[in-house]
Amino acid sequence: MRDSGKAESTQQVDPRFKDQSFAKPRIVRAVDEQNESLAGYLYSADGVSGSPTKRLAKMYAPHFMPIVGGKRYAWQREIAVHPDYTDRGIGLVLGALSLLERKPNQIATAYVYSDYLPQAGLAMKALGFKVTGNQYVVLGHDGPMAWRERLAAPVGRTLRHIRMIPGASQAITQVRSQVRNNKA
Amino acid sequence: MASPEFNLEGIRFDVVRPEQMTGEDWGNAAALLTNAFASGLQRQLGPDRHDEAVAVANTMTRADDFEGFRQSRIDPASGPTI
Repeated sequence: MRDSGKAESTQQVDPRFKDQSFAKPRIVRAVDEQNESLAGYLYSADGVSGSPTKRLAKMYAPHFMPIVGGKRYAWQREIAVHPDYTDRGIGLVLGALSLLERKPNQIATAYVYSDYLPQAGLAMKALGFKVTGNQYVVLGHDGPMAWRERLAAPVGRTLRHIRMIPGASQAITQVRSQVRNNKA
Repeated sequence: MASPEFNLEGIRFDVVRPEQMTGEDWGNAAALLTNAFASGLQRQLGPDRHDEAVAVANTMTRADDFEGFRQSRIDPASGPTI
């Protein structure tokens, strides 16, 4: 019998997530040093889906293995930049720092509501993300219908796209060094 | 660090695990998410539909299951969670 908080927490799982498992969650934050307010935020995790056996195989299978290999997706769950801090490259740096936590051959995925927030999807498509699925979904339990697209792109290739933007390589190098120093 | 595309002066970045986030951190993240959704929606819907943008933004954050996901789906352990 499973014990403690883990079993208890499993009971709270939203049915929409019951066939999914996640690992290596990471949160990337951008903070305004002047007032310590949150300027940007990104949540990502490795994600797999399917039956418990498939999830286990997808989580640990080598990338080259047929059927289950390469299915451990680098899910970019949510990203937001405060409206006062847009157009400064913060979203790109959040994205780069998040992807640098993953393996280059992983496939990064994200879901965007292209009717409501087309900017998010357009920005990702400019970085090489392709639409790999779409459907109408109800927002929450009682919200309006929304057209949701699934976007995907290899992590390494996306990082190369970001680094091709003028100033990006330098910005990412400096920020990475800062992040490493903060961790140390 | 300033360039036409990047102006990161005065911005500090960090990468953390969920268990390093405090309750206040999560609150700030949820507020930022809703705020950013509302701002984007307002651009899409038009300035006279502010209330609708905020309502849909709140629904989107709830639909994102922000609370439920962070409480129930992420194992604090650094290794894979099955």
